[in-house]
Amino acid sequence: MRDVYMTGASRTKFGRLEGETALSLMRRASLDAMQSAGIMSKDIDGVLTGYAMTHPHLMLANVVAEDLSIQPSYAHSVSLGGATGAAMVQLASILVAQGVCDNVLVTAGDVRLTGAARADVVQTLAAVGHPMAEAPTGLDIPGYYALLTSHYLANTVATEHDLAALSVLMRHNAIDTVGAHLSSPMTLDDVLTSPMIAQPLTRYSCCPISDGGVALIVSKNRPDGAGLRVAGAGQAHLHQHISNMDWNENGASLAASRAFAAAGVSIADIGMPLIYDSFTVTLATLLEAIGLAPIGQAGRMAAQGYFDRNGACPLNPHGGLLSYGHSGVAGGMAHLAEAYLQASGKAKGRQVKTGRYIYAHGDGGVMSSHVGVVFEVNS
Amino acid sequence: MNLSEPAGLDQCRLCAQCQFVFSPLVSVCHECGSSNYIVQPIVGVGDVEAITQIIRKNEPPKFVCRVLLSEGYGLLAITQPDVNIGDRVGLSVLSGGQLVTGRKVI
Repeated sequence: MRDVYMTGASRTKFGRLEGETALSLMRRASLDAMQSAGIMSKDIDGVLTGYAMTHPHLMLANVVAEDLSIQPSYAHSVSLGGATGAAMVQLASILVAQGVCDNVLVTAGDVRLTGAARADVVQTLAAVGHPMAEAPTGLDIPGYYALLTSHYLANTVATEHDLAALSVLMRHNAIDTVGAHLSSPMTLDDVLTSPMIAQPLTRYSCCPISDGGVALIVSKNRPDGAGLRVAGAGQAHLHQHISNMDWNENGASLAASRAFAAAGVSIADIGMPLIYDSFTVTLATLLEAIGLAPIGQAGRMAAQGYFDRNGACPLNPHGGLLSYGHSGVAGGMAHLAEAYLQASGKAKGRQVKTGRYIYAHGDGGVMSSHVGVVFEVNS
Repeated sequence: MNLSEPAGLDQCRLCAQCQFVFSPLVSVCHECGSSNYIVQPIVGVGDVEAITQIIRKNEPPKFVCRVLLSEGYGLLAITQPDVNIGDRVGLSVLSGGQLVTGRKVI
């Protein structure tokens, strides 16, 4: 088995990107990622894509490959909701480790803000609910996560203020992140008094719907300078529908423990977590399930500065989905791009001390699909 | 019981092999892997575990909860504003197949 590295990454601006398409954003990000890795289209022999709501093609990996003049020996489109990006990195690392590919392009992009009616986006996303048992209730994705929030608040010591602190932290991180969708300063009161979306989730407890694209290069080549080795990954899929979810183990802890075992590390080794944060409750429950915070304490720790860029455990330094933005699969991949940018010293003003190991965690559906990836920073 | 309801939310599945009771959203017994089950009516009582209010313009407020049925699995149900997490409620199925909570059970 060969060692595997993330050798390049690029993340477009997120937000309202008039005139762009899912394909144009994937192209833009892919070309930039190849440039950052020092390779060209002809060097790519594997292409992995997510899905694009605004470009619902049966063979998106082939579409992207053709557009970029890549003729890969392996192509694959993956669909695991918000966990897709991390799953693609895991798959790419397997392909490279086993010698199937040398350089895999992993990309996703979507224009959910400008390329689709908001109602259509909401309705499409709501389809993760069971068609007979859940969708008829009228719940959409924020509604499902609102159920999670109500349960979390009723069964832990956390308060709505604590959860809001996570949103404030993500916004604080996004303020000086170039390309962030939401970058105006935001306070706890702003979060708590923003319009109610689904009790108890307010607007700023939820990520925005964004346009954006991200691309990563996963390769056998060890970079000359600082780089990022894919040390291990793990998945867990314990349910699809919230009706069948186990409140005590939704798969997050299991995926993380599998990733840590694959990498030969423990939670104490992780210097920088990059955690999926579609809603404040997503971030809180993942941090706690993974072991980065005691149950009910994630928000309080955020308020106390523990997860600040200069804190003990810098979290989502780019602003996460809650503020950098959420453009579907690319939204979760923005965290993975941040791993590369931080590890290679290209994060500019938001550079943090990552420590030796970075952990990225994606969540798809309603806490349904979990994929964790451990990266080792080569210094 | 109306067996024609597509999701059969007022019915649970009893594994014919190991007697484990499971949700109508699942087709294979989690305990023994058997797909041979017997459909039987639920008792119609559960505990509210989570609740939300859907807020949309030009629509009346709607409350939805997840209920842990006495059979041991969860389902979503339409509910009322006076229902809270921890309440034990009665359950019934509307003609359209939707599960709703009814009276609180003391």
